[in-house]
Amino acid sequence: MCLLFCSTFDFTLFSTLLFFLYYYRLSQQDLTLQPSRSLAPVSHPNTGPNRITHVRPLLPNMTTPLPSLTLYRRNGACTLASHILLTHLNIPFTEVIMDIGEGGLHAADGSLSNAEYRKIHHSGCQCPSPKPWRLSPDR
Amino acid sequence: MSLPQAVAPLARPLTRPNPPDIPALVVDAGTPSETVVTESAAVLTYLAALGGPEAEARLLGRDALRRGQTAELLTFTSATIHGQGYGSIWRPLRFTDDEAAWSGVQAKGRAVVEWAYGVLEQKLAGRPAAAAAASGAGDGDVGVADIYAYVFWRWGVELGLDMKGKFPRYYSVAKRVEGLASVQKTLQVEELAPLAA
Repeated sequence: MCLLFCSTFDFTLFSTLLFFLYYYRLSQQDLTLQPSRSLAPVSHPNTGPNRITHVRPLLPNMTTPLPSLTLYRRNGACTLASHILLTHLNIPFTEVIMDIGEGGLHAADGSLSNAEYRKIHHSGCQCPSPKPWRLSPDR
Repeated sequence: MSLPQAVAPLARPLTRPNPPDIPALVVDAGTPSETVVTESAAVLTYLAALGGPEAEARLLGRDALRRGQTAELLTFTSATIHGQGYGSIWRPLRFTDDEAAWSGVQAKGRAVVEWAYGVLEQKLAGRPAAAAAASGAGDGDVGVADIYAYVFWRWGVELGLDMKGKFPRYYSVAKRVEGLASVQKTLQVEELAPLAA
């Protein structure tokens, strides 16, 4: 009888501990405003040394985690507007700086080929001739 | 405003083309919900919404009409100024495979750009916030349409157009955008000089 009482008591104590542990962890998750996932994208092999990562504080009035964002951009291009807005809003993001070469757009640090970029962007500037961006009108 | 029919070819070659297939914004990369957003107008609209209700209203418009105007400006800038105008100048191959015709396409593109800047001059200045800022009545709100238009104001300067003299109200918008600390910071990161001082 005594053994049965002790076993029941132990089980109740153990269950209570588990209950509090579960709700403690749940409350910690609810209070966390950090993104639940790493900001570093894993869908492409861009891990070169020249890659620049911006991590900024989260927005003050956010109640839900921001998604992770990766902007493929080029200095001075139309992507300047998106870059400005990300900075203006203080939104954390990862950037991949692109360059244009014979085969089209690729990461400036060589970590992402044009073929890989075309898996991200539907066209990815797959240029049909060697130098279609020749700009001089007399050429 | 009518589009000029006969235009001179470009006086000099441009050396820094804009690749047509950026931006790409990858959301939640490497997760089952991974999504790619392309096109500047879409990316800017999405980012403005990420900023929260107040930022979204300030950047996209505080009522239905202002939001419609923002969409109009983003679409016009993207499709006409960028796609048609600068697309013709920088990538005439988009419009014809005939290399002999490229100089004509580029010249036409320049005419489109100049005409479209004139349209933008009217559209940007016609909004209450822009008018208030231009008259000194207040700073006005800087919206995503202003930020996007600022990029093309810079391109106009780089193209050799008299952006200050020919488009004074557009210049006031560009100057207001360039005065933001976030813009100054971004220009430094992209190693670009301020042009609207």
